[in-house]
Amino acid sequence: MSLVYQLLVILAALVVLAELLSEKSIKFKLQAALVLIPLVLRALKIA
Amino acid sequence: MELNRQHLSNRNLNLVLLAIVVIVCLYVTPGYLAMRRPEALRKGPGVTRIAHLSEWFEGIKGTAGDTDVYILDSGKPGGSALILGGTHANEPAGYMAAILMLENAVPAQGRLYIIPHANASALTYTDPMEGVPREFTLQAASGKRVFRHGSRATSPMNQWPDPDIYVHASSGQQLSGSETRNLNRAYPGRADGNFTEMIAYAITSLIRKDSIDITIDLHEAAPEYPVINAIVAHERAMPTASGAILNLEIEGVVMGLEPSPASLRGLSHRELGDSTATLALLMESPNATQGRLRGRTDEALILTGKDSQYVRGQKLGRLFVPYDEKGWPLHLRVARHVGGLQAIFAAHAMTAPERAIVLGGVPTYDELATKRLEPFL
Ligand SMILES: [Zn+2]
Repeated sequence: MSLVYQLLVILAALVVLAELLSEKSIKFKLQAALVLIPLVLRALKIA
Repeated sequence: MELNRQHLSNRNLNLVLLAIVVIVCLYVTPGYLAMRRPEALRKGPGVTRIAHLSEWFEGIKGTAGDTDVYILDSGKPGGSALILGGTHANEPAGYMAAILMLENAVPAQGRLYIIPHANASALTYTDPMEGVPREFTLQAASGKRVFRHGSRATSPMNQWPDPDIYVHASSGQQLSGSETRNLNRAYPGRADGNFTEMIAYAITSLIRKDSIDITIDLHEAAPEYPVINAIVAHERAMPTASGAILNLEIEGVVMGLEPSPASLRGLSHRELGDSTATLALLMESPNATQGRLRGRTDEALILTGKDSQYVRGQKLGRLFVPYDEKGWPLHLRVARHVGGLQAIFAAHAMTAPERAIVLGGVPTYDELATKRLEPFL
C-alpha cells in the first residue's frame, strides 16, 4: 500500500474523529463512530 | 451549571463511542490478520522441494506476491509441467485441485511444478459488499482442514490506486481500471511494472528458465459465463487439448474446447503461449459463489454449489452449464480439474513421448466423484 494512500486514510480518519467530537447530535456522533471503524482498520493496514 | 452537566455528558458519550470503535477494531483484527497467514499445506510424498516464486524474479522477494512453488521431480528424464491454482483466489476448485495434486501426486517420469496460490495477495482479503466467506472447512482424512477463500484480484493494500483504464503493457489493450490487479490480464508481465505485473513476470520467468513444456492455469467461472466446463488452449496447445478432451470423453466427462482468442490479451493461455515455448492451457469449472445470480453466499454454497436461483436461471435458459437441485459440488469441480490435468498429460505423452509427464498417486475423476475430496487431503 502506498504511503500516500495511508496518509490520505489517516487524514480522513482524523476529520471523522474531529466530527465525532464536535458533533452535538447523538445520531450523527454514532454515524461518525461507524465511519471511523473501517478508516482506523485501513490506516493501521489491518483490513 | 446546566451547561456544565451537558458538557460532561457529551464528553462521556464521546468516550463511550471511542471505546466502541476501539473494541470493534480489536474484535475484528485477528480475523483480518489470519487471512494473511500462509495456509498449512501437507507436503505430499512426491514433493522434492518447496521453492519461492521470487527465486525466478527477485523483485517480488519479501512481498505479498511471493508464493510457494512445489516441485515434484521424478529424477527421471521427461517433460515438465506447471500447474497454476489461485490465479483468482475466489475460484476454489482451481486451487483445491492444485493442492490435491501437490499432496498426492508422485511423478514417475518428468517434473511437476505446482503453485497453489499464484496470486497470494488475492487470498488475503475478500471482496467488500459481496458477503463471501473467508474460509471453508473439510473433515479430511488427515484431520480438520480449513481452506482460505479470497478475491479475484490483488489486494488494494498491495497495489493502489487503480487507474481509470488499465492499459495492457505489451499490446496497448484497454480494460476497466480494476483489471489492473487481475493476474490473468497481466501476462507476460513486466519486471518494472505494477505489483501484479511483477507476479506475472515471475511466473513467465519460471516457465522460461526451467523450460516448462505445459502450463495449465486452473479457474472457475460463473454458471452464466459462456466459457465454462472447458479447456481454453493456445493454438500450439490445440493438439494436446483435443487429445485430452477425447481422453476425458472415454471417462464419461464432457469438456468443451475453446481456442484462445488472439485478440484477448494479458491472459495466461494467450501470452504464455506467445512469449514462451510452453503449451498454454486453462480450465474452467462452474462456480455459483462467484456468479451474479446467486442467493445466500455461505460456506455451503462453496461446498455444494446448490442454489435455487441458479436452478431458476437454468429453467429460463440463461446458463451455459446444466444446473439442477444437485448443484455443482466442489468435489465434482475439482474432479473435473484433476481428471483434466491427467488427460492433458496423457495426451501430451502421446504427441511427445520423450517429454512425457507421468504421475502416480493421483485419484481419478471417478474416485473423486464418488469418494469426494476428504480421503485425499
Ligand atoms: Zn478465473
